[in-house]
Amino acid sequence: MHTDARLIDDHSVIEGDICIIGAGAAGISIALEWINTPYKVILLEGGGFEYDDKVQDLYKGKTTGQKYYPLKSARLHYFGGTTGHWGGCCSVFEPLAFKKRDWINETGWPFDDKELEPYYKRANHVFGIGEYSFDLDYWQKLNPALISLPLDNSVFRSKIWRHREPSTLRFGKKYKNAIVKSGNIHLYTYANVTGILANENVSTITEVTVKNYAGKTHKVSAKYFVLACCAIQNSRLLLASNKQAPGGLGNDHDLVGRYFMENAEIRSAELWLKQRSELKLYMRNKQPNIRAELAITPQKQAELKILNGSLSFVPLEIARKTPPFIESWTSEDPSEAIKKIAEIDEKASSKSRMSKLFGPNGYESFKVTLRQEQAPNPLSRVTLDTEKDKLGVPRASLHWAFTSLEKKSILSIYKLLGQYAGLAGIGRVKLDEELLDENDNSMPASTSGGWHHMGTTRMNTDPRKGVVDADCKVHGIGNLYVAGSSCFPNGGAVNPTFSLVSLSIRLSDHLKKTIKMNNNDNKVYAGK
Amino acid sequence: MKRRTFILTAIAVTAAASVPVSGLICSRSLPGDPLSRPDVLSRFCNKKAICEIGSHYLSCVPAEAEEERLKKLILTDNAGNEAIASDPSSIGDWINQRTSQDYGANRTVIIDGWVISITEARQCALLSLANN
Repeated sequence: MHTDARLIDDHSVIEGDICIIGAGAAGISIALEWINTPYKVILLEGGGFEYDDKVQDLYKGKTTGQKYYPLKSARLHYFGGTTGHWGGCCSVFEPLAFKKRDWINETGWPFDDKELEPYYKRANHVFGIGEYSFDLDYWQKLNPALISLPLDNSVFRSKIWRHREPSTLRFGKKYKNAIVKSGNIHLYTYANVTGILANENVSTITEVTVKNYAGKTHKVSAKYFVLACCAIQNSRLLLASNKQAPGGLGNDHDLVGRYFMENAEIRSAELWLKQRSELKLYMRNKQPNIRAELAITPQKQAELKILNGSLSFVPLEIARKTPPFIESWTSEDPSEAIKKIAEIDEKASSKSRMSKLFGPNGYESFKVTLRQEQAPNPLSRVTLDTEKDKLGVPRASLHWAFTSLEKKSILSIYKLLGQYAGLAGIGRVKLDEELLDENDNSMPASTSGGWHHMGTTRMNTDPRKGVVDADCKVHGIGNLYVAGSSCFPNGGAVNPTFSLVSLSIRLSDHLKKTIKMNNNDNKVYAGK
Repeated sequence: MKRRTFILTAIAVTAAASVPVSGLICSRSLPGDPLSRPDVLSRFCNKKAICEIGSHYLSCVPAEAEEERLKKLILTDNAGNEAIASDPSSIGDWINQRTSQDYGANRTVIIDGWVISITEARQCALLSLANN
C-alpha cells in the first residue's frame, strides 16, 4: 500500500507493528521480508518515487578534514535510496574483516563470517545476480581467458566482484510494485522523520515525528522501530533526537556519529608490463559478469601489520584522461555529478577504443588504484551543524579523518606489488610523487571515497564500545534497531551494499523471532 | 628538505628521490654492456631517466660512486660468489638471477618512484657514472 504523506490530514497518527525509517537498500530489503506476514509494517520514505531536489536538499551538509564529496550529492533521498545511482558492484567481506586484529585499534565484529554467510546467499537473491559464488576457480572454469596475474599466492590473491547492469539493481524500480501492492506493507512517501521520541526513562521509543514540505506533521507509533537511512543520516537522526537525552538517543557513551569509515580509493601507482596485456580478469567482464581485484592475503596483512586493501587496474592512457573522483564529483546536484563522471569516462574510453583499434592488443601500462579499508577512528565522525534544514533538523557535518596506519598501509601495499611484480618477472611498478615522503602521514590529495558510508552507529556487545548490540539493537533502548552499514565496526575493503543488505536480512529474522515471542502481550495491527 | 632526510635515513631499506621523471618515460631498450643496462627497466625508461635514477642512487650511497666497486657489487652475490665476467651472455643471466634474488629477499629501493632491485639501481648508477 502506498500513501503520499503530503495528502493526508495534518497531524495524522499512523500505527503499526514495525516502523522502518528509510526506503533504501536496507529498508526495502527488510520490508520485502515482511510481505504477507500478519504484521503491519510502516515504511517511511522522505522522498517520492522520483528525484526531487527540494527533498535532496535535506541531505546537504558540511565537510571538514580530508576532502570529501558534497554531502547533498553523496547519497540519494528518494524511494530506493542510493541504489538509484550506484555502480552495482557486489562482493563479500573476507573472514579477516570480522576478526580482532591487534595491530588495528578497535577491530572485530561480535560474530564471525559464518554468521553472515546464509544471509549473503539470501541477499544474492534480493540483488538477483545469479549464481552465488565468489570463488575465483569457479569463474575461471567458466571463462579460461580470465587469467590471474602470476604473483606469489601467499601474498596476493584475486578477489571476485560480481556485477549486474546497474539499471537492473535500482531498488526503487525493482521493488516498487512488490512494496506498493503488498497488503501489509504501508509505504508513506514524503514522510521525513525529524525526531524520535522515547518514554520518560528513554528505554522505549514511543513514536517518531514525520514532516514534509506540504507543512504536514504526523506521528508514527509502532512496537519496533528500525532506523534504515544511510550511515550519515542514521547518526544525524539519533543525535538530533536530543530532547530527552541531551547527547541524542543511544549516545550515553558519546559514540553516535563517531568511527565514520569509507573505502578510501588511492590511485597512486603504475604497473608497467614486459608483455602487453588486457588484464582481462581485472577488467569488468560481461561473460561472466565479474571482475577481480588483487587482494593482499590475511597472512601478509598480519605480517606487515597493515590495513586490508585491494588493487584495481585501468589502462594508463585512460587513467591519464580521468581525474580522481574527488576532483570530478564536485557538484551538489547528484545527477550533474554523475553526468560529469560519465562524460569523462566515455571520452577517455572512446579514445582508448580508437587506439586499440589501430594498435597492438592490450596495454603496456596500467594505473593502479588501491581500495583501502579505513582504520576505525573516533575522530572521523558525523556531528550536528548549527544550521538547520527546511524541516528544522540540524544539518550533518562530516569530519573525515585518518590515522597514520592508512598511509603506512598504502605504501606497504604498493611496495609489495613492486616487489612481487619484479620477482614474477612481469614488469615494474612506479609510485606517484605524492607517496614518496615516508615522514608525511597525510593522505594523498587525490584520495577519493567510494561513496561507501560506514560506521557511526558501530556494533559491539559492550555499550561503552558500540551504539548497537550484535542484533543491531540500540544499547539501552528496547525497541530501536539500526539497519545498514552504519552498524559495521570495520568496513573491510569491499563495496558495502551487498553486506549491508545481508545484515539487514539478519536483523529482519531477529525481529521476526522477537515479535513472535512478544506477540501474546501485544496487539497486532494487521488488517486495521 | 624533508624528502632529503628520508633518502638519507631510509636507504638501508628504501631510497627515494624527489625529481620526477614524468615526460621521460619511453619504451625502448638500451644497447650496450649488460652491467649498465637494467634490462626490464630500460623497456620503460630512456637513457636519461636511467642515468637520473643512477645519479639519485649514488647521492644516497656515495660510498658506491666508483665504477669498479659497482661492478664488483653487481657481480658478487650475497654468499660472496663472483660471476665470470668474460662472457657477456652469462653476465646477463647472472644479473637477471641476481635481480630476481633481490626481489625475493626484498632488497629493493624506490628511486624516482620506481620500485627496483638493488642490482638494478647499481646498474643505473654505473650507466650514470659512464655518462658523466
